[in-house]
Amino acid sequence: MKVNSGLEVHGKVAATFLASSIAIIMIGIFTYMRKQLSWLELYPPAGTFSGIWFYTYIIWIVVWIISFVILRHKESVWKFRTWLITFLASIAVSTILIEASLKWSLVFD
Amino acid sequence: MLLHGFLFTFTLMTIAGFVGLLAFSSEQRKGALNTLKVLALITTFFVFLLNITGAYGYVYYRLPQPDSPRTIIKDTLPIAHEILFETMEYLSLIGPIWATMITSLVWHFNEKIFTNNTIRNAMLFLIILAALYALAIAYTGVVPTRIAPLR
Repeated sequence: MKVNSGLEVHGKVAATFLASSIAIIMIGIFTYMRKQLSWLELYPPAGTFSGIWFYTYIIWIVVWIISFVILRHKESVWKFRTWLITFLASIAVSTILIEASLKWSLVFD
Repeated sequence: MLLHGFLFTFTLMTIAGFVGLLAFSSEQRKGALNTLKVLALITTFFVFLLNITGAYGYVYYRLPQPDSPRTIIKDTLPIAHEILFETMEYLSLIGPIWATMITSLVWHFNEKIFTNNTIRNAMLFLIILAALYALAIAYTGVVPTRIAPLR
């Protein structure tokens, strides 16, 4: 599957990519730091998972609204390929952060 | 958690329909675009429901009792909880964001999704990768639920 690097991206689409990428990275950061951030325990029966869920989704929606308002009239914001790479990189970073926060020592000990 | 499992199956089915339609149909075929939009919406709805039912079950999973699934799993095979279940728990949070992004792109690009090869290929790539990611996450949930199923 070849993706043409020259395709221009409208501001509305850029806002979607930007908000999604930031929210996904925040999931990784919050998960990695969940033991230090006690305020993530929003609903104690669900532990810090509740806060990670709630705050990242709030960040996602807020960033989406703000970036949409700012970028909605822009005809071109970066290339399509750049946004795709940014989005995939955010998933990779978040996955690495989440996995790095787990007790892998149990496997290797 | 039967509903959770069913929802995952439905999600995979709608993704398969989406990929099939996008790969083998064209904008000339009457209704293809509308079907694609509806499939994208249904998939996103299922992914959100999957996430919500998973979070609901998680509360019962981690009850501080000697017979809770988490306690049983940690006593039987600690890595099944510490690595596999935790991987599923946190990585699955990405799903609804990913699904919503794809749906929003489908609604934004409209017929260009069939006429512009760059967009079509990118969408196919994004959704196939999302399906593989979801399958990998689901696989990490198999071992813990084999040890102590959540009812």
